[in-house]
Amino acid sequence: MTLDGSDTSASGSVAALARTSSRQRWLDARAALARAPLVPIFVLGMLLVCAVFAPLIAPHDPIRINVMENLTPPVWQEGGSSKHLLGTDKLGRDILSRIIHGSRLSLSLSLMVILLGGSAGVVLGLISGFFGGILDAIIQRAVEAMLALPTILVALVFVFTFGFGFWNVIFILSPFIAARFARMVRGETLSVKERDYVAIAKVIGASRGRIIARHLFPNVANTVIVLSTLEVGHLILVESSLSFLGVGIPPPNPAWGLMVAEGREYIATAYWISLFPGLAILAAVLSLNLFGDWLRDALDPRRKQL
Amino acid sequence: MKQSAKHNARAARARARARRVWLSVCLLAVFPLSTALAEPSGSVISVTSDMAGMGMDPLLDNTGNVKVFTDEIHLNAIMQDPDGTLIPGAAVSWEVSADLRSWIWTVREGVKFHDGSTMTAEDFAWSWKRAVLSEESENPYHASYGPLIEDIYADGNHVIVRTKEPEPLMPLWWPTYDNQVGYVLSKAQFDREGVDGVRNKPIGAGSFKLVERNQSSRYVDLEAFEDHYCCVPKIKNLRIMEVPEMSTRLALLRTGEADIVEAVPTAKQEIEGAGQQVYSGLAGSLSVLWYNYQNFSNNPMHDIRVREAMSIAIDRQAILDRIYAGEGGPLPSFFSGPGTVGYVKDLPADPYDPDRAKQLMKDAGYPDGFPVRIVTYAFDGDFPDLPTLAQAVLGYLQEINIAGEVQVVEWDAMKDEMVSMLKDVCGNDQIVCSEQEAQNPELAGQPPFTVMIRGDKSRYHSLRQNRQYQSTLAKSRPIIQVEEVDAALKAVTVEFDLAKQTALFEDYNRLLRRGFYNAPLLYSDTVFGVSSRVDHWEPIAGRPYPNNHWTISVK
Amino acid sequence: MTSYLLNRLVQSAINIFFITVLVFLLARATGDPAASLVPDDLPEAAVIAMRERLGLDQPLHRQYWLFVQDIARGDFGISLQGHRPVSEMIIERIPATFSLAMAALFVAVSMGIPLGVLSAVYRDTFIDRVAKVVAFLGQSTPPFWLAIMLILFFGVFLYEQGLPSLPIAGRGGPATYIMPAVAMGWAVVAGVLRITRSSMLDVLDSDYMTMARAKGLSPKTVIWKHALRNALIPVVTYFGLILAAFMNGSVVIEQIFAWPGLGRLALVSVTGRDYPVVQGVVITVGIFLIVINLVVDVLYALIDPRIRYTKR
Repeated sequence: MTLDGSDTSASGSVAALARTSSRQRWLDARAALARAPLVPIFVLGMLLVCAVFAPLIAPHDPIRINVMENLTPPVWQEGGSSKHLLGTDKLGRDILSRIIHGSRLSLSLSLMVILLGGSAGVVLGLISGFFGGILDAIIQRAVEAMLALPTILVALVFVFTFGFGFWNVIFILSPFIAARFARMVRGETLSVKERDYVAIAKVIGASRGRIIARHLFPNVANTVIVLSTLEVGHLILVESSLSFLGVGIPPPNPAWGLMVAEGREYIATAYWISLFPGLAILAAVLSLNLFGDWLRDALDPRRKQL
Repeated sequence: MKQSAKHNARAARARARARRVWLSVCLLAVFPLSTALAEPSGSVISVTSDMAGMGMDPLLDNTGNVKVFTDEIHLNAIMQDPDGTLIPGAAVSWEVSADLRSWIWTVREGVKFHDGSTMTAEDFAWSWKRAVLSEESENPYHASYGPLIEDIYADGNHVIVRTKEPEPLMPLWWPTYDNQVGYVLSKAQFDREGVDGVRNKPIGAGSFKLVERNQSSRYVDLEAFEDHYCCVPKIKNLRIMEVPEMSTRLALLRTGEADIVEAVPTAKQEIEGAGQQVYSGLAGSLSVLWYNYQNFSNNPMHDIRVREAMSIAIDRQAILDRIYAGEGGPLPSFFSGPGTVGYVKDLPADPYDPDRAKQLMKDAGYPDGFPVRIVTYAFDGDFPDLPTLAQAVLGYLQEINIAGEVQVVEWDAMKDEMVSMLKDVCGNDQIVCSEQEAQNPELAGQPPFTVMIRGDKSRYHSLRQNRQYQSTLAKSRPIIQVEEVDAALKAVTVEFDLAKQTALFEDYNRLLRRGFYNAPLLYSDTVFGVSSRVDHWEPIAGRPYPNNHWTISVK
Repeated sequence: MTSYLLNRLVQSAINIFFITVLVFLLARATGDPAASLVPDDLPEAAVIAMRERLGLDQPLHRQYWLFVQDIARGDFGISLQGHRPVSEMIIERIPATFSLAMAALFVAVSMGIPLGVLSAVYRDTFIDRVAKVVAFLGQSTPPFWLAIMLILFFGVFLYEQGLPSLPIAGRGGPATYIMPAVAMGWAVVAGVLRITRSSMLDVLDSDYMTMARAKGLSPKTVIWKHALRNALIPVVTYFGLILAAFMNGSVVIEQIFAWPGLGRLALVSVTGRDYPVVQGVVITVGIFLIVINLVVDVLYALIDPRIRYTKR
C-alpha cells in the first residue's frame, strides 16, 4: 500500500474484477468529466504555456541585472512601476519574468525525473511482478530500502557527492521515483496477473512478452499516469526545498525555491521577492494534486479510494 | 430517515468544530506568550547562526563560531579593542629577544580564574604548549604553528616562546577570530579534573562564567564574573543561542526573543524598518576578483589594459549602497581590510569609469569583448552573498561587452578547480610555471576565460604560516605568477621588523594596483541586528559572530 | 503466522544491509573530508595527518567491514567537527525529533481523521471538496514557505499587534511545538484523509453498517463509534510512511525553527562534510523506519489475518 491510497491488496483485485463492461467505463468517464476541476486545469494550462513559451511571454530577461533598479515594489505599491509588474529582487531582476522562466525549470526537471526514474521503475515493477522469484525478491529489497530512506536526507548526501546543479538533482531524485513506480507497478502487475484472462492467455500459449505488452501494460498505464501527475507535484516540492537550502539548483537560475531563499532577509520589507515564487509553487503543486486526484477518480471510479 | 441522519451528522460536525475552537482558545490562553515571562532585567539573549560542535577545548577546536561563547569564558593572551588593535590581555606586554628567536610575554598579575584562584605564568605556558605543541592536539594550528616553535616555558612571571626561526608575526597568531589557541586555561583544574573538566566545565578567566552548555538544545548560559581585572559585564546573565535560519533570527528580534542577532548587510533595511538597531563590526570580510593566466600571452588578461578595464567597469559604490546597504566600503588592497594590520590607508580603491574601460578594451583589441566565466561559491562566513556579488559584477562587465555566466559551485569544488586549472596548463603536476615552461599553454587561451571571486577574512597573519606559502596559496588563492609581484610578497614575509614589514606590505599593495594584477572589490562590515532594549555595545572589528558582550548595557 | 513473521524479519534485515552499503558508499564519496576540515592556510602535511587520523587511507572494503562491526555495537565513530562520539550526538537529538514527530502526528490525525470522515459521509458534495482542498493545501505548500509564513503571522504579527503570540525558535515549553508541528503535520493530512475516507467508505457501504442501522442505532453513533474504529486500523498501517514523511520535513522545518533535532544535525553535517555523523543519522533513521514498518506489519497481520496470505 502507498500513502497516496492506491490499493494493492487482495480486496482491490476483487473490486477490479467487478469492473467489466466497457460501456460502464464510458458512463463513468463521462460522469467524471462532469466533475472536472476547472480551476486546477486552467492553472496547469497556464503553467504549461509559461514553461513552453517562456522567452516569448516573459517581459524581461530573467537574469538581466540592473543594480540601480533593485528592490522595486510591485506595480500597485508606491514606488512600483508598470515596467516590473511584480517588482524586482535585490539585483534588479524582474520577478515576474523569473517566475515564468522558473516554471520551465520546475516542469522540465520534474518531467525528466519522471521520464528517467519512472520508466526505470515501471520496467522494474513489471519484471518484479510478472516474473516473481529471486528477481522479485532482489528488486523488492532495493525498492524497500530506497523507500525507507527519507528522500531529502539522502538527496543531501548525494548532492555533496556529486555537487548541486540542474542535472545532478535529476539524477539524485530519479532512484526515489523509480522505487515508487516500481512498487506501484508491481502491485498492479500482481493483481492483474491473477485475473482470468491472463491465465487464459498463458494457457493459449501467448508469449510472456506479449502478455506483458497486451494485457498488463494497458492496465498499468492508468496507474502510471495518475502517479506521474502526483509525483510531478511532489518533485516540485522536493526540488524547491533543496534549492531553498542551497543544495539544489544554484543561482543565477530562476528556480522558485531559490527565489524564496534569496528573499529571506527581506521578508517584511521587500516581501514580494519571496511571496510570489512561494505562491507559484503552491498554485502549481495544488493544481497538480487536485487534478491528479480527479484523474485517479476518472480513470478508475470503481475504486472507492480517494 | 436520511434527512435526520444528515441533520444529526451536521450537528455532530458543528459540535466537533466548536470543540476544536474552544480547545485552541484554551491552549493559547494557557501556554505563555512569546515574550517569555519578561526577561529579568540584566539578561541578554545573543543569537548566532552556527555553534558547530560547541566544543570548548583548544586542544580540539578551531571552528570559528564556537568562539562566540568561549571568547566570553576564556581570557586570551592578547585581546583586541573594537578597532581591531591588539591590546594586552592575559599578557601585559610582549617583546622579542635580541636574537629574534624568543618572544617574551609578560604575564599580568592579579588575574583571577572563575573559581577564585590566581592565574600564573605556569597556567599561561601550559595552556599554549598543550594546544599548540602536544602530540594529542587535534587543533589544525598545531600542525601549522607547532613545527615553527621549539619550546614554550614559564620563567618567573614571563612566558618564553622559542621559535626555530625568527617569527615576526607571532603576536598576530593568538587572538585571531578563528582559533582558540591563545586562551589561558587553569592548569590546576586540569590537574584536578583532567580533560573532562577542561572540555565540559572549563574554569576560565574571561568576563563571563559558564553556567550551562546545553548541547541538546543548542544554547549556552553564562553569568557575569565580578572579579574580572578590567572588563566586568554590565549585564548579569547572558544566553547565547543558535538559530540557523536568517529570517527566523530577524523575526526573533522583532518579538523580543533576542537582543543581538547575527545578520547580513542585505538585511539592514529589514532590521531598521522594524524599528530595531543595526550595529556593525568593521570589515569582517573581503572580496576580490582574481584573474587567471595573466602570465600567458594568449589570454586577454595578460594585457594590463584589459585588467584595468575589467576592474574600473565595476561600480563598487553602487553595489555597496544598493545591495549591501552601505555596510562596508570599496576595497583597495587585499589580505587585510580596514582595522587590520597591513591595511593601506591612503591607497584608493579602483574607481568607476566605464567610458575609460570601453576605451581601454578597444585599445587592447577587444571592442566586442570576450566571453567570461565567473566562478564563485556561497559561504556567508567568508563574505555575505558572494553569488549576488558575482552577478552584480557580471552585470557591470556586460556593459563593456564582457558577457558570460556566473557559476556557483561548492567551496571544495572551487579549490579543486583552482588547483587543477594551474596543473592542467603547467603539466607535470606543477602549479607554478612560466609560459615557456608550460606543457599545455594553449589551454590558457581558450574561451570562456575564467575569473574567480573569492571572499576572505582579514588575515594578515596567514602570510607567514610556513615556508611553502606558494603551494598553500595555490590551494586557496589563485597565484598571480608575475615575478615582480611574487617577489614583493616574499619580501614582506621575510622582513622581521613589524614597522618595516608594514611598509613593504603597503608597497606590495601599491604594486598590485599599479599593475591591476587583481581587482579587490569590497570589504563588508559584519552586521548585527540589535533590539531597542540594548543601549550600548562595542563589537570588535573582523569578528563574524556576536562578541565583546561585556560591553553591553541594556535600558 | 511464524512463517510470515520470519519472512518479514529476513526482509527487514536485508533492507538494513542495503541501507548500510548505500550510506557507506555515498558518505565516502562525498569528497575528501580531511581537506575540508583543515583551514586553507595550512600545508599539505596537515591534510595528510588529518586523513590518517580519520582512517581514510585504508582500502575501501576494509573500511566497510570495520564500519559494519562498529554499527553493530552502536558505535558510529567520532564526529569530525564536534570531537565527540556520534552516537552520543544522535541520542541527544532523538528526543527533540521524536517529540516533534509525535506532535505533528497529533496535528495530522486530529485534522485528517475528522476531515476524512466528513469527506466520506458527504462524499462528492461541496463539503467533500472543501475538505479535500484543505488537506491538499497542506500537502502542496512548500514546507519552508509555510514555516516562514507561520512565524511571520503567529509569531511576529500577533506580537506587534499586542495580541498573544507563539514563541518562534528553539525547543522549550509546549507552546514552542505548535508552529513546527503544524508545519510538519499539515503536509500529511491529505494522506490521512484519504485513508480514513476510503476505509470509512468501505465500512459505510458494507452490510455491517446496514445491520447496525437496522438495529436502530443513531447515525451519529454508527459513524463515530463503529465505522471510525474500523477505519482507524488502516491509519496505523501507514504510520511508517507518515514517519518517513516527517523525517523528510524535519530537515527544512528544524532549520527554520531552530529545532535541535536529527534533521538539523543531518543538514549541518552534510554541509560540514562530517561524514561519521551523516552516516550515523541516515542509518539510524533508516533502521528506525524499517523497524517501525516491521512492527506495524506484524501488528496488522495479527489484527487482520487475511493480509498474511496476500502476496506483498
